[in-house]
Amino acid sequence: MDPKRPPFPGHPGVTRMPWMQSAEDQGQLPDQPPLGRARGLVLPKDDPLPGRGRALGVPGETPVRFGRGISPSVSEPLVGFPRGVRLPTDEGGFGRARGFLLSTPEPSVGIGRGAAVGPVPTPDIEKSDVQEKMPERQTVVAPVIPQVEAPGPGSSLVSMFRGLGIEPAKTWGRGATPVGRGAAGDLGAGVQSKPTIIGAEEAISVLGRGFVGVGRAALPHMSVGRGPIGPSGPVSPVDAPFSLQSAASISEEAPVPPGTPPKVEVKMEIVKEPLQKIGTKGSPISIGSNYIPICCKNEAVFQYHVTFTPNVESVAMRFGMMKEHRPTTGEVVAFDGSILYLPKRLEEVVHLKAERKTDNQEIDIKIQLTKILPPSSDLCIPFYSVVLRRVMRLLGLKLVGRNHYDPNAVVILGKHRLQVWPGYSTSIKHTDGGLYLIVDVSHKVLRNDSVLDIMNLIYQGSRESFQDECTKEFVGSIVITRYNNRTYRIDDIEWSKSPKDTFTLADGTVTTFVEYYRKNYGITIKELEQPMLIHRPKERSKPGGKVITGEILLLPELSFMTGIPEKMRKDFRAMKDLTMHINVGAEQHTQSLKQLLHNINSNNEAVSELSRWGLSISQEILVTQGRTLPNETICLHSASFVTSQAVDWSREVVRDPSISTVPLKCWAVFYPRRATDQAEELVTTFTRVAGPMGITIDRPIRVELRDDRTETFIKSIHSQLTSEPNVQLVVCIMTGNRDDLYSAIKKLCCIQSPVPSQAINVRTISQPQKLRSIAQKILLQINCKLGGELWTVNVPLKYLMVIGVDVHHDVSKKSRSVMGFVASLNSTLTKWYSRVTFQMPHEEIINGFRVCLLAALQKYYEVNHTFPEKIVIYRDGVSDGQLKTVELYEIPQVLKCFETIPNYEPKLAFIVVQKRISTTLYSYGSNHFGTPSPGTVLDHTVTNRDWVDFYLMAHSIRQGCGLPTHYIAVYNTANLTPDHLQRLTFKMCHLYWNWPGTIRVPAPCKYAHKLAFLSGQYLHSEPAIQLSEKLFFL
Amino acid sequence: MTTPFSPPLYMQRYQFVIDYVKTYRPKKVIDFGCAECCLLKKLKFHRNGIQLLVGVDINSVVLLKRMHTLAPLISDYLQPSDGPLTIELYQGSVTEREPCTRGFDLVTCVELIEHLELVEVASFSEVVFGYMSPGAVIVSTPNSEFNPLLPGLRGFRNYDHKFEWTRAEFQTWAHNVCRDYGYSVHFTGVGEAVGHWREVGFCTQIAVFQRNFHDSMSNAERLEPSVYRLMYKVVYPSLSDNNIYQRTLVNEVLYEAQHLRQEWLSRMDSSNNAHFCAPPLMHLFQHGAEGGTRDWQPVYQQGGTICVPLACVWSSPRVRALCGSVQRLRQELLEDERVRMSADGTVLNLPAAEEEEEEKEVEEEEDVKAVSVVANSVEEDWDRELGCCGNI
Repeated sequence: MDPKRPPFPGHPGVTRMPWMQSAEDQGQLPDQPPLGRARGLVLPKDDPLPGRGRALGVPGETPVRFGRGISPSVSEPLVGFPRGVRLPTDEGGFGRARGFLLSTPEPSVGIGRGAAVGPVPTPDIEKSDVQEKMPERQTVVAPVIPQVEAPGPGSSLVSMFRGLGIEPAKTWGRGATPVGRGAAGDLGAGVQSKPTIIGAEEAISVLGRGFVGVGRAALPHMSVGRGPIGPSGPVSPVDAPFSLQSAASISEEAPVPPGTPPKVEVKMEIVKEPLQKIGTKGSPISIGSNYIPICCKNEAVFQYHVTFTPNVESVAMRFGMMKEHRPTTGEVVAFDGSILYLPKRLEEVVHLKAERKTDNQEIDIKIQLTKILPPSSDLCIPFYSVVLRRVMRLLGLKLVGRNHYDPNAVVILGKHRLQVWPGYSTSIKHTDGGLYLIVDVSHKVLRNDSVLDIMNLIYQGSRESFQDECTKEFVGSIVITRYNNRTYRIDDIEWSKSPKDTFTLADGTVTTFVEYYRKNYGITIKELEQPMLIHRPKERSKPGGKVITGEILLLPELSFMTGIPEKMRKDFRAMKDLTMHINVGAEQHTQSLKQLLHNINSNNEAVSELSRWGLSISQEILVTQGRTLPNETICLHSASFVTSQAVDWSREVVRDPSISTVPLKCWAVFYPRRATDQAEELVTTFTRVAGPMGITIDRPIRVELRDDRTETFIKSIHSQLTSEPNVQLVVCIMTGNRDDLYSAIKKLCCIQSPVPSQAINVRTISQPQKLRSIAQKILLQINCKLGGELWTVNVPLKYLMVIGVDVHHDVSKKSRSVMGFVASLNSTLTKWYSRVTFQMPHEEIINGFRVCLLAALQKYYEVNHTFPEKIVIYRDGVSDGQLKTVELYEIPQVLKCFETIPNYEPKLAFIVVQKRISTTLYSYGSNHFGTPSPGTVLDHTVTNRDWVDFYLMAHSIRQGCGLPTHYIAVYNTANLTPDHLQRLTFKMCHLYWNWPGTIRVPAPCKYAHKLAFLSGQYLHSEPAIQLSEKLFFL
Repeated sequence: MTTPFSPPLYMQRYQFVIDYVKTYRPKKVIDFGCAECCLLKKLKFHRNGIQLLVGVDINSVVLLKRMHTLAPLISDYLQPSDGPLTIELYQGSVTEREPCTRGFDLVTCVELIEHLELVEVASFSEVVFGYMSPGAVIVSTPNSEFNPLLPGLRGFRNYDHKFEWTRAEFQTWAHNVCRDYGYSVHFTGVGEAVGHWREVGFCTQIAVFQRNFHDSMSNAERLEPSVYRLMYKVVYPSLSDNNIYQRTLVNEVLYEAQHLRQEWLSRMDSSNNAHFCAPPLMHLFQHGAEGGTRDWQPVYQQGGTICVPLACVWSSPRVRALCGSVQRLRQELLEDERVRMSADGTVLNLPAAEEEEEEKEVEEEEDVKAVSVVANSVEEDWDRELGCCGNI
């Protein structure tokens, strides 16, 4: 034991009653040595909730406490081993097998074991079983210690365990195919490390696991062998040859009496339990994905805590001092000022000397080993990412924002004065299948115009509203500066400043912008009267505690615009020029990935850069097995049919009657004089095509307007609605793409005088040969808006309510964000109740959500005379970082919501829907990558270790790559199995009535999105409650 | 060591070189002991006509680490500069004769010689002045007479310094060099002390050598084998590259022409509902209401072609900046196949209507029935599978 360690604070009972301490697991003892900060590098703030804060896989930061409490022995040489024996106890309180979250560190070998298991609130019967077995375990494990003494503290882990009779890397680990691993649930499944380290790490996790079967036994897929087994338990040799073998060999060589307390400072990271998330329905297919396996050749990464005495405040100085000791640490280091990671093992405590240059004070640097991490640990990913960035740079790629682009492959679109830079977005993730490099093909659109150029254009266009137009054009867009490769988001424009103004440099000197750029970059500012662009960085603190805040002023002349110009977005042809280059198919996508992998692996510098941390990146794209879910049956009024391969039923819906239709008796068409012919033609076509769909339609009230000004439209619609209150529908035929007119019509018809409305651009109905099919589509849409039902699929769950939630954020950030909420009201999922709430930028979404949910439940009761038994919520717009917030904050609020209804406890499944992800799926066959067919699901290997999740590609792909949607079941008391979750989700993707086929997200999400978009973009207010039972927003 | 200078002394040294470059405009510059490439990075911005920028350092690790800071910026691709620029980094020693270092206009050795052993200084002089014989050499080194003024300084300013010279020592060396290799020198420096301390001289003393004879390097000597190791080389995109020039010009012209065409079309559209009635076959339209020089020559339509007179395009300041005269513009455009010009080269021709959108229209195929009758013979009940049959 380190004599310098602070004395034990005096809990004499600790040794015997370690479970008393369980409550402290999450907190730090006041006197705990700085070990507790080990998390700092990755997780800047500790989550205050028990156990959750360690989600990154650093369970239980309490090794020191136990070590102190238990071991009086100073001579104990073994450091690595006993700490590894930790119990990934599944936490009963949260009802999920998330082993890593609350895994209690196994405090010590002998006495401490009770501590780990004791406090686990697992409501499992077999718990007692385990406790009974504990004594056996103690005798088994404790004897290990002397055995390990032989190799000594400096010896490699592998040899240590070889000495124990555990041969590293045999049947389990890498060898198993990813699919087999999860599905079979064999014991080796959790092993994600390389064989070299397995010897150490896996032996430990096996030991730990065998006897922590407690939590896992609750899982339905548990195999017999994995139950609550102690070493003497019923271990199936097939399932877990190792737990047997290792345990046996250990006990044989167990000459030392139990109770010899080991030192417990250094611990190994545990291997997480895989969650049960694999479904079986559907037909298996080969699936490729843009995941590239990363091999970790090193045995481990060693985490050290570095203390400077006397304390050195300056992080830069700390870096400098550590740099001087490269001979000790080696060239390969990752250091953040107090936590040090090395690929090699130092002595347990190393003391180094340095001199503080400012006052010649001699500083003692203490480097203490705190943790031995498997090389695939989440803690390593930040500095692996740094390595990866370096590699990308070595390949000559340019970093713009977060992605890397290739200047040698630029596509120039001269017609539009922009360039398309092809490149890659890369990230490293530790998923269920291990460590992967995720590569996505990315394109950066850069414009040849500076902000000043565009300002000049705007000025020519509209002098009066120049400033407003500029704000509209620029705020929210990203610019790249001329003198470096940085990108900035424009948050505002400072009209009262110019480049002639002064600012203060870091060293205190005051200079003008003109002078600054001349002096530093040799740039002469041409326009002295330009305003300045403001970028407000997010407040964040740099390592070292420096808080970055305030504004950054940029010169329009020196800022290039990036991204697709708004004007171009509306230009169908221009976009075609662009998307031709941007939307790459699977073939091209995989080709560029392979090119990158080839470039990395054939670049010696890149390879050696990676190998510094023992990494190597595979040449091959991941290919694994996925499934295509069974085709669904679409039900119309009387016809029903199984979907075709293309999941397209556009012909069927116009040929056979919809489930229900609303007769169109009283409706009005408004059109400007010049569109008279088109309007007439449309109405005629409507009556012709309505019959087969089962719609009855009468002649409309026709209102010809003398011009197409917004007031003219609004005035006549308003007077029409006042004079004829029975109008069911307002149809407006507009000339051109006119946001202002559209917005005015929608405001009038959704808020002021609530009535379903349909706006039609005259252009879309101007081509006679297309009019028929367009009229059919419009008519279907009108039927939805009036409350008709088009089609459904069978969902074999009774009293089910499906809810979709999406949030629309305004780009300029200033205005409020809007939540759209859509809930099903009937068993066929054809009646929807919708609500909208607005919230201020930092207001929590959940407040509005509760109101909507209660209203929806009320409405459901009115319709069905009972409340729904099962509620499935699809929540769009949640990033990975927000999942915890959803789980810990939103879901409890939802549950509270149910409590307001007496005796009501519905089952709830809360599924987060993520569209913007970097995962791509390819079909794979005969050495060829293509686009996967609709209904392709992948629920292993690339999935998240922390959640039950899956990737589903529901839509059919016409252009570009197979971008699946990621679904994460954050909460599931409905106990829907992976199969149910996947198939329910796929079914829901069939129900979007604006599209006779499957779409990317479940229909309620899409409806919620549409609703939020309409409300946020055009209405700027909540729509009238009278419309809440109609899909008026389609 | 805290320097009392503002801006910091190293910045002043760099500024000295930048100012020199600005005045004398050398085309080829080599920096010995470039280390972190700070000076090169500065010179990259303050080019002033530099076309070849070379850095040499004996430490390849530091070069490898910093070389990417010399890569072209995104903006260099977006707006290629007028003059060419190539940057090369070599690992090598100033005491070695490297053929590719010959023929330079300026050699800078900022705080370099004091890191050499005195014996090496002699071969350094021979290599730089005798072998390379560049047009000018800037050598800076600490002035040891200043050292007493530096707070807390014992010994040399840096542990790696092998010597630190007084002004007299430095000047003796410099004068010898001039005598041996045919250069003339003048002395200056950066970082002056205040008050009566001024007489100790500059903190950093600088010698600027100018070659007295005309360069007469024959190409034959270039055939010697290279001893340096090339670590990094990058050619900046510039308009002096004919491909880039041509591309940039054509893009500007096409953009301008497209813009004029669009303007004209929308004017037609709004004036007489071009959507609904076919535009006249030949329509002369006076375009441009905001008043400008280009209005005198209109855009017009001829059959299925919109004709944009070259003079309209020429009025764009960007196009003007790229090529000096209409004649040159015409010549460049006639050579390029991306531009459709009239035979006499006075008018650019653009299609009046965009190629028809080939939207995939799903044709009704009444015969092929992709619809099968309900095949779901097995009625599913997930509730039963879940084992929770409605017990609320």
